[in-house]
Amino acid sequence: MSTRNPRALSYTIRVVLAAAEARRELRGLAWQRAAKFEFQLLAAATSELAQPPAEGWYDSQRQLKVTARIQGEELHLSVQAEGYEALRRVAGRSGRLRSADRILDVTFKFDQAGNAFAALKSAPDVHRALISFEIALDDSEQS
Amino acid sequence: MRIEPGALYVRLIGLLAAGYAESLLKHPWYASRMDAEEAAGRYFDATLGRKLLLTGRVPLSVAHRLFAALCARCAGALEKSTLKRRVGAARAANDFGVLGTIRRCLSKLSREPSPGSASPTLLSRLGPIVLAARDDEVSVPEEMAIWDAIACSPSPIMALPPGEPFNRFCSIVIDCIRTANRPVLELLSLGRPLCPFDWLDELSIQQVRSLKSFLRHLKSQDVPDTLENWREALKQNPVPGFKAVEALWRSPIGTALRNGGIYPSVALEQAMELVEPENGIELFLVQQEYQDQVRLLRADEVIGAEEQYLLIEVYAGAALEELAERAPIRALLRGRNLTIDELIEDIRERVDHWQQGTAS
Repeated sequence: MSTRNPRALSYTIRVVLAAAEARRELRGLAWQRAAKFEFQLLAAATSELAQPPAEGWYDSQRQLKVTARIQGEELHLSVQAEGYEALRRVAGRSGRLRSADRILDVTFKFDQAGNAFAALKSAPDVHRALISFEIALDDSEQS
Repeated sequence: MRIEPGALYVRLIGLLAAGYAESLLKHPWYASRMDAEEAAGRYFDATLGRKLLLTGRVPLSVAHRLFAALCARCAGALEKSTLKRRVGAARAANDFGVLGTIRRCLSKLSREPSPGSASPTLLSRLGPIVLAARDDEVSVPEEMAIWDAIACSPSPIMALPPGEPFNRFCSIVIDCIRTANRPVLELLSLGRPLCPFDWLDELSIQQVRSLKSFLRHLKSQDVPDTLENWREALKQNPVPGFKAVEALWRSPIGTALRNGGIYPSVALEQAMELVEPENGIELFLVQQEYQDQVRLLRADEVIGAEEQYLLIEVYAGAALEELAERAPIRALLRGRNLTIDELIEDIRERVDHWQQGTAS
């Protein structure tokens, strides 16, 4: 049977608990870094007059689905969290949509059901900008 | 796993800005003089970037220990490497392979000992510090910053499995951070609004500690800053370098101490865990020993059965959020209406209290 070694035990407990907290913090940071969703429309990239697919399309992690509908002179963009994991990540948070060509830079807010909406101008450059864009969640908000 | 010092630096600064903005980067004692970004840089220089002094009792610093631990995580030539002092000049190392890379990186570090360093004495008594590998060795500077240890370590390194190897490495990192933070925290704990970055190079650690006793005396007497009150306090709490009270009163540090007001230093100390760093590597328990000791802790009724389970699982690498969902811990948290963080804090406090009780 071991004899008591309070100093070593107290130290080791401090270390393992601090290490566990650090690991959790690192996972949180990885989560924050992952708070970005990339969308690529490869088929449309070669098209002269890019038209977003009517059935919508997904980000590379398949967590968000974007649907675009033309309403008169506007292009209505709906973003929907797909599944519980995605909902947990985006519900109630602000998002920023930025296209690779920087034509689009729009902020919006996801509701508690993981839905967000943005109205854009329906113009050829806007349609083209949707070929490649990302949605980033606001880092300052609690995830 | 690759260590990219540049990426790591950016991540560290980002982490400071994200998690410690209020307590360190926008600290009220210097927030008006610098923005958070500059404070992050100066904090880095004052802590991880600061060369650690050796003393007669500490012939290798925690930065050396971190460097050795990182080298031992490099597969191949360095896997069984050791860092030690040995009499005689370091053997000439070749310039190839990982040892050559380390040698080139270490050669860029200054070898000039800091004032007050015990390095010259240690060097003549115990010999230089060398990283001894299978068939080669590299001379290592006497004084290293923790950041030097990281930046000069080999890459890639092996990922550590959860449990003992990971925890043992963490114990070294925790010792490093505590040692690196200590001078800044000592200055902040004086309870006067000094910007630590201004005074780190001006005051020795002994001076800071003596000033702390001196200021505590004034506070305990509840008297204002007057030359007479300082004279009385200095008589009972001498401060190295200031024999006469007039010299302390008129000195830059004396002027700074008088001109800023008094703050509750005790609360700050507690918040910042200002405790003496320990030589963790000697205290850290291997898994079986740890489990036995935790059982004894349970036998002493310091912790309950569920907490014993939690401590053993955490050592083995279980994630806190996952543990909180396991039935025994979930029931405990519900029963005591605690979060997992509150439970951990409570365990820490009980263990500290128990340790202090057994020591007295």
